[in-house]
Amino acid sequence: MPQENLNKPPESFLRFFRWYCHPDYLEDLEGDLLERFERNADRNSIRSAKTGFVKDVIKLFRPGIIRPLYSNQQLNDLGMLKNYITIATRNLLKQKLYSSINIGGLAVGLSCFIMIFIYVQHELSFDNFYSHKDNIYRIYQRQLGNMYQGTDYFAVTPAGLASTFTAESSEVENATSVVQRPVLLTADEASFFESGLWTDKEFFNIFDYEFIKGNARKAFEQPMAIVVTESFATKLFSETNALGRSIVVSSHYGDHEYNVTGVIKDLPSNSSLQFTYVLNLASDPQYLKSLKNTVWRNSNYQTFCLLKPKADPTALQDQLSDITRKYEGENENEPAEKAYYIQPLSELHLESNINFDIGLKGNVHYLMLFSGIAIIVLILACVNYMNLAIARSIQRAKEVGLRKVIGAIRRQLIAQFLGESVFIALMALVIAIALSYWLLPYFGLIIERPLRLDLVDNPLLLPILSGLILFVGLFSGSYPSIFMSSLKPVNTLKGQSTHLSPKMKLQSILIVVQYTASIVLIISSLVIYLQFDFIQNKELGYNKDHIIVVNTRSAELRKNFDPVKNELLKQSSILSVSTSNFLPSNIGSSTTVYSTPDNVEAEITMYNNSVDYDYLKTFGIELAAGRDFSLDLDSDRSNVIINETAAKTLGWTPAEAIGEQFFQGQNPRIVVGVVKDFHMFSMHLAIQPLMLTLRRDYFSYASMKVSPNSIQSTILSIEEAIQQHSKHPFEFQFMDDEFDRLYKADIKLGKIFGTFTVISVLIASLGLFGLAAYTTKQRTKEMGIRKILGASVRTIVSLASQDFLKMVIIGFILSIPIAWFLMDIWLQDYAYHIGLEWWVFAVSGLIAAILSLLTVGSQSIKVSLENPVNTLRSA
Amino acid sequence: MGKYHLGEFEEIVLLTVAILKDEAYGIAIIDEMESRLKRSVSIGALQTVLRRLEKKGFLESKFGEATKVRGGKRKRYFSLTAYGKKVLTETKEQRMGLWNAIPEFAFSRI
Repeated sequence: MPQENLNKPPESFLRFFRWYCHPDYLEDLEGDLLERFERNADRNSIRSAKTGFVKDVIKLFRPGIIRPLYSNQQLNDLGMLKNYITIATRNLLKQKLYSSINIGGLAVGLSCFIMIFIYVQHELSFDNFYSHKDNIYRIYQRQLGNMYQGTDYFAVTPAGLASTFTAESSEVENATSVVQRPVLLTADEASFFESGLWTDKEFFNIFDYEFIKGNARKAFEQPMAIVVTESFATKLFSETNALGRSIVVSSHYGDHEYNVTGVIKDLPSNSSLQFTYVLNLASDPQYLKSLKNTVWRNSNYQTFCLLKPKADPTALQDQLSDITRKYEGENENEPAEKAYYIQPLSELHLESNINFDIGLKGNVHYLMLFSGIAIIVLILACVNYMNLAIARSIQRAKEVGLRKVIGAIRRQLIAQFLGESVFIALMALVIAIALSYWLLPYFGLIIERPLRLDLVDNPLLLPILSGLILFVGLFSGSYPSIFMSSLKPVNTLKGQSTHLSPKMKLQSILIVVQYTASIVLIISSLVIYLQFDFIQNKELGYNKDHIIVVNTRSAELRKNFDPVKNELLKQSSILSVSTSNFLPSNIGSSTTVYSTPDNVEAEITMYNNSVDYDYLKTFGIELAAGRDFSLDLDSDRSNVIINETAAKTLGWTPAEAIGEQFFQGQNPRIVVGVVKDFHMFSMHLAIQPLMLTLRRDYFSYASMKVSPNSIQSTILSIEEAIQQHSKHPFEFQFMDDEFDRLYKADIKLGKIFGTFTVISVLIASLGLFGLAAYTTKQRTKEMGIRKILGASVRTIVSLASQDFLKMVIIGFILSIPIAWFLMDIWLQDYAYHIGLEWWVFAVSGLIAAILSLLTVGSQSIKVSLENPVNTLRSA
Repeated sequence: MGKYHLGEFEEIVLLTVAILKDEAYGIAIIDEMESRLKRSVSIGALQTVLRRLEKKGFLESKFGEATKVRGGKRKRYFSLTAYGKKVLTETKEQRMGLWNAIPEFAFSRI
């Protein structure tokens, strides 16, 4: 026994060797070492054998033999991770079609979401850059019952309100009057006709614009002061340092010279107040006069006020009512009772129900509609992604079985599937970000907002997107991962995986959801399209073709228009010329008239338009009764022509109305003609009572009916004739363009809605296609057997398609009430609209059915045509 | 074909493995080299080269049966791969080519 012990090599060195040696080499190397030791011990001495052993162990301690630095466990984890990635990529590449449908669909849906999110965020960010933004309120009024273009709210207030309010309210720090007015500005020989602000010196204390040159507090010390933006200064003087330069302002007060007292930075794109210059209101004689009024009469100015810190808006509202009541006074001539309200600045941009409002407007309905679309498209894309991910993962039952046999525990499998799912969703996100980065400028162009994708500066977008991806990835991964990891390896490896596939209940529900949403969108697009078609083709009651409209801003031109008109009419290409205050497409002025001179009875809001002799002729407006204004009769100055609606409102038929009269104040108006109703607003609003009065000295437009030939040269000759009497830049448009402008917002909406409908239908079709392709593939054997037993191609196709068709039909049935409800709301916004007819729904359902038949049918036909020998022989 | 130039020791190890044929495991290789070449070789030096050659694909290895000697540890037998054989032959031919290129008189002068 001791002999045995002595023959053993030094234990410590053996242990050292075992510790450092690479595990793969350990056994045979240890054997070699021991063999040599044993031989040495036999031949020489134990001692030299031990020394030799130690030497060998030390000499073996070299790279190539030593184990790697990482321990076994970590090595395996890295390997598994590598394996997961390899398997994931292989799976993606193996099913290129499904992978691209899957990732592409999600990417498109996500980019729609990103773009609309940025749009909505931009709309909600309006006016958030002022340092007092939370304390700035604006004041508006309601003239009860004085309906004008659909609402009796008005943004204009009396001139005296700002200063009175500052003096008498305990909550108000400061208030300013603002009015937007276009004038002609001339500097260094160059003239620009632009719309800008007229305001008082408090303006810059409330809205703290950054002054590049000059001082905000001293800017309006002198009345003849103007502050311009950086880019406008560059436009006028070719440099930003415009301080002290003079600009001639031509308005209806004549030409006056103003001094530039400040240059401010260009306004951000999310500013409601958009202007290039600000003029001192103290140089406006009309304003100064109305400031002196002790009783407020006219409302012409927007009023903004800055509240004291910690002021109470409800107390302010009470004080406002008290103060305004005091100054309004009892006024016999006031047609309507007035009430004043305050509104925070943040609501200004999306407020669209107030007449004569200031600033760039957004549309709260569009915002909601787009958000809805974004969410629908996103849901569609996510549903799609989940459906395909679930379908695809079921094919991997064998992989799961094998992994389990080798020793994968359930948690690892779940982690693998979840991780893979999140990873693929992440790929979609990267593509979506690239896509929206590229598409956003075009989208911005359509909706007229300078949109920009900035992931770094945008504090909300990235977290939301990451959260979304995590959710989509985890949700779509959770079902397959939990289901797959519960499979018994014995079953899956025996090849029973197909029997184990869930009955597609979840997937069926998801497909029905997709189709419901898609059909709702198809119906809506169709209704929107039909409504636009209806608007475009509805009999307007006036002619909009071949009419050139010139803006007549110059007072000199208006004074000398008769010779100009005669000169124009000498040309054979100009058929008639008419001047008017408004174009027939948009009548922008109203007054109150009464049927009796004591102004007690039958109060009517009557829209009015002052025109000249040739208005009806130029625009082709037809008379229902009576006559047009006549050059021969001087009395026509107080006579009016009314429309059928006005006649009806006053209780006359068109024929009865001739010779009748109504009263504007004390002045009688005698009806000499009744015109047939024409659409005097956009189709959103109903036709209202209208009177045309004869007035030739003041007008805004000169309209010319021209012959359609050689329009270019006609325009040139018109410009020549007009510009003899006008310093203003020559501005003209075609009447039909002017008409289209009424529906610019609607057309914009239609375009975007159509695009998103196509996208979402595409996504839904892709999803259906992917799923159909997958399920038919799974049923190839069944189809093969059916074929052998004598099934025809037609039976097999219908068998494979009917499940999907059923889902589409359910989706269709569900979509009808939703679409009907939504479109009914939308159509209510138009005074003149189409009815919701059954065939619209039928056509939409048919479109969806055909699309789904095509996608599903292509797959099932492919299967049914295959030779059963091939389908049945394959493993 | 990427040329791999065998080192001197590598060449000797490959040749010895070839000589030993089915009996080429660590100690046997050392013994063979020591007896034929009269130079002592440490396990460490040999094993590093063996593993390197195996990784390069010149050699392959398999475990033998466990025996009572060597503490019950199995032997790892090395053998030449086709690639290894090819490299060896090439090396030999290069050498022979060099030898053949030596002019007769140059040698005889020495």
